[in-house]
Amino acid sequence: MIRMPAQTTLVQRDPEQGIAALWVGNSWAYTRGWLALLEPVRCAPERRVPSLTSTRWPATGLAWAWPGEEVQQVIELLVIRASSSIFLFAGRGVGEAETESLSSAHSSDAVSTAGVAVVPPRRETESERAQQLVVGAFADFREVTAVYTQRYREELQVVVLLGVSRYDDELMNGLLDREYQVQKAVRRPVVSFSYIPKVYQNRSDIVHPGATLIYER
Amino acid sequence: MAVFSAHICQAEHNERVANHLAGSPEMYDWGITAAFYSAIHYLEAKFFSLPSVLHTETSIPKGPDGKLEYTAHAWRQQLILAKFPQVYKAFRKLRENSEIARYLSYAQPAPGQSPYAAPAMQFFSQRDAQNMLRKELRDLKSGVDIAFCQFLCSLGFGLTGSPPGPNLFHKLVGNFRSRDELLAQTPVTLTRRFSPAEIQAIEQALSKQGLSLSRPKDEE
Repeated sequence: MIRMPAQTTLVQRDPEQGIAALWVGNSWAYTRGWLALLEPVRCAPERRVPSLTSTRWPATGLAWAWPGEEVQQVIELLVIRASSSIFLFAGRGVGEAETESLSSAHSSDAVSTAGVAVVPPRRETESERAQQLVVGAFADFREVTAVYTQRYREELQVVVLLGVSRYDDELMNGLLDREYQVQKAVRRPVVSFSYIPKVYQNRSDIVHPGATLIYER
Repeated sequence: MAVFSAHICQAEHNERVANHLAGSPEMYDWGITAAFYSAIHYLEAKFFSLPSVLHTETSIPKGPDGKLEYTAHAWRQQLILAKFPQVYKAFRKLRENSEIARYLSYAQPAPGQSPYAAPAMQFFSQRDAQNMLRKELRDLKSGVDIAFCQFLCSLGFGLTGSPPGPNLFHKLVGNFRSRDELLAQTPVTLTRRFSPAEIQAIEQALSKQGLSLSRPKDEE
């Protein structure tokens, strides 16, 4: 039996990409493996891309999903509601896709929610809470230019990119004080930090392609 | 896995290397890395004094699939947070900066100019390297009370000795924090936690160094 969170008001399924989009309460969520659905992954807050919203398709739902506990890669989810049909795009890079390439996409199936079992809304995961604390801890350092995270089994690895090209002991003391506060507040997952100074040409030289950008100045 | 005394020997050796390198204008960046490896051994020596830990690598939890759940570095930091939070910041600074010093591979003085040949030497000053030895490594050593463990080793209570030495090492570390605290005990007060044979071994080891437990007041 398909089990849905409470307050699920819209369900769209893309059979070709094996993904389903849910409108849960007031935000988008997604799940992969439709029949195995137990806990949908709630997406990041809705975000609009001007180049898409100005097309002939008014995009009313546009969300970037965080990597799930099992899903290590970022899934971008784009839902466009036209006047008489709904389109669902999922995968990597859909937010940057040209409108022409989206025109070849297919429309999704609308699935009735009638008769499905209801489970309590999914609570915020430990990993999501840890990431929010990390962003809160470092966002007010003007030297912090970006923060990425990636999972290694039970470990959440945090990469903090700095805008400095010379060692600054005062800055390091401040960062480590904040790191300690995060460590005391987060028991699981185990969080490990690294601070990278601005001594690289491209971020792709030092950040794993599977890492998730959770903060950028 | 090394026993306590081996960790201490390696820690002290690495510290001497770190001091030597940090004093060199040509290779002071490697002084940071040597200081970090010294810190690792001081910490592992202290972990060895805790029967619940002994070694970082052998205490990493396994998941339901039988695989290790964390990297050794991440697990060591969790142990520090749990057992010795007072040295967390010093340890992290040494580790973080040693990784930057080792793996920094690109640094450009200005747009359009060629990268430095030795970027870590440009990122850290010699004073930075020396300060990490003088402050962070010193703070770490004093924060984990390594001196008492070294004192017990000098009494012959290492794992390499014969019984009851090995058991006594962990038992004494579990009951006292310093040399003075141990010497303030009397044979009578020790009987609450130690067997007569263990008390005798402690007294014999102390006497070889010209030391002794306190005597009860009515004996003075």
